[in-house]
Amino acid sequence: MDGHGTAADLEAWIDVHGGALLRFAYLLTADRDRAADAVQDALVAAYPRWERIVAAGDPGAYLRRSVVNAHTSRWRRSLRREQPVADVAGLAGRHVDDPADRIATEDALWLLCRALPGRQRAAVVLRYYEGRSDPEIAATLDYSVSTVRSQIHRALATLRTRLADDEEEVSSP
Amino acid sequence: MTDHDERIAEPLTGALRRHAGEAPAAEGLAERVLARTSIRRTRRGFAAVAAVVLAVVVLSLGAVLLAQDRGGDPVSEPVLPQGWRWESYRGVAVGVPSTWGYGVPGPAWCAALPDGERNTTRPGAVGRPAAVPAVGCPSEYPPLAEREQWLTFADSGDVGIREFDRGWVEETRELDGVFVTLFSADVDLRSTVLGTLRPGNEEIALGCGPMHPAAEGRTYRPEAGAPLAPEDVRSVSVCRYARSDAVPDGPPLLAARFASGDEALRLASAVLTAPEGAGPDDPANCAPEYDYGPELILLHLRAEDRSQEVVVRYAGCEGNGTDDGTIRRALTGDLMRALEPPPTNPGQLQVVVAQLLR
Repeated sequence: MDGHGTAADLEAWIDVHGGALLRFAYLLTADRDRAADAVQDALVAAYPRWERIVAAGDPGAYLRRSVVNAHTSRWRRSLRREQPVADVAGLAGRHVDDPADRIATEDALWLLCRALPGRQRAAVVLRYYEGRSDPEIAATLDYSVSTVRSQIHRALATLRTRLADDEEEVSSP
Repeated sequence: MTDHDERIAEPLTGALRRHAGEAPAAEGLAERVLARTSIRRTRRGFAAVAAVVLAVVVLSLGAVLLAQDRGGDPVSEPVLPQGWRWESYRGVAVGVPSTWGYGVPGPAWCAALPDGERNTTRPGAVGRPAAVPAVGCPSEYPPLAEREQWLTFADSGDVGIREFDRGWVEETRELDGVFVTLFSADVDLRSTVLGTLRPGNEEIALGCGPMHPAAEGRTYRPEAGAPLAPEDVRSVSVCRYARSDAVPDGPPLLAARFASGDEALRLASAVLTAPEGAGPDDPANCAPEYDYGPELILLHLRAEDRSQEVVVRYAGCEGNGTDDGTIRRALTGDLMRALEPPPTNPGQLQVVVAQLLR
């Protein structure tokens, strides 16, 4: 494929899948600028190899992996500057049947998600937002299936514990 | 999945779906991406003109050779004093005099060295994070008569200037999470060296990009090309990377080296004539997350009219060997010896690989 063919092919892919990739990147980074940068960087880096990436069968997984790897490095580097955990005290025991409580709980979970380690967060987004199976997540993150299960389990345990801790803080004298 | 997991799954999905709506819009994304790729192509298109300019622009030898090889735009690169070279580590680069060696013992300076190693004091040396002997020396730095100027890269540290005896000063600066420390009694040299500190790129890093997909996981294979003969190879960039998920801080490029002439031929011969196959591996010796090891080396073999990547994996219990995208080969003693020169010498070898060096 010549350069024009590659450009047209990549453009067509972005038209169909670019939005989903941006949403994935945003849920991973919780930052619109970082998400846009990560997606653009991943696509620009993929351009020279696009034909081969497509031939491998799953460009979306390749690009998500690029976004995760770039974000994981950046996230770890700037860890000390991030303070992503807001006060979610008192939300664990609410009744999620109440729409207001449900939204409050979702907001709390969103804030807590932002504090998860990058790869755990990626696994959570792939499972609970994109609905991917364990083998699909494993292929995307270059993990074993057992590692995917372990990462998701740890992430959910962290979220539960954090909610419960804050509930305890509120009910303590 | 436990009952607890299921109870949190629904609100979690709701949270992610709701906040996904805050993501940037995709309008214009394709145009922005393709515009950036065309800028890249244009920069490469300057090759012929740039090669002429190179003759009068003073750059480090490696940068000159690379720009000629790769068609980079040398005018955009900073100029080092003549006789200096670039050293790169995890996305930053700094210039040092070419007479400086490699390997800094640091606080373990008094530890005994094997016979024949570093019997003379060098004008200076560059050090990267590595295991050091647990030796309690009488002072942080050697006595004056044994003292060398040292530049070290680290992933943590304290920015500032610390004074020692007889005018010797240790200064640390930080850029993009990398801490660069210079120990010297020469105020001008200290200022010049640390003044060159800047974000690294492929030209400065002797043909090694600060990031590379080979460092991102175990599935990467180079793009296959037509077979290269060792005698066709004119130069080799040797790029040592941390595997980004095993050693996670910052860009994974740990060190870069540029080989030409006989050294390039030796490297190319070792890597292109090794027996087809894989290994040596020792799969029972590692936890699964470390099975491919924490680092690898990427070779860029350059001939007159083309280049070829070769991945060399040596630090894990599985997946050891080389891969040029077409043929996988086993590691050999010749190859491991050809990879020994610093600063790109392997920082970790499995026992079964180290045995090749016997």
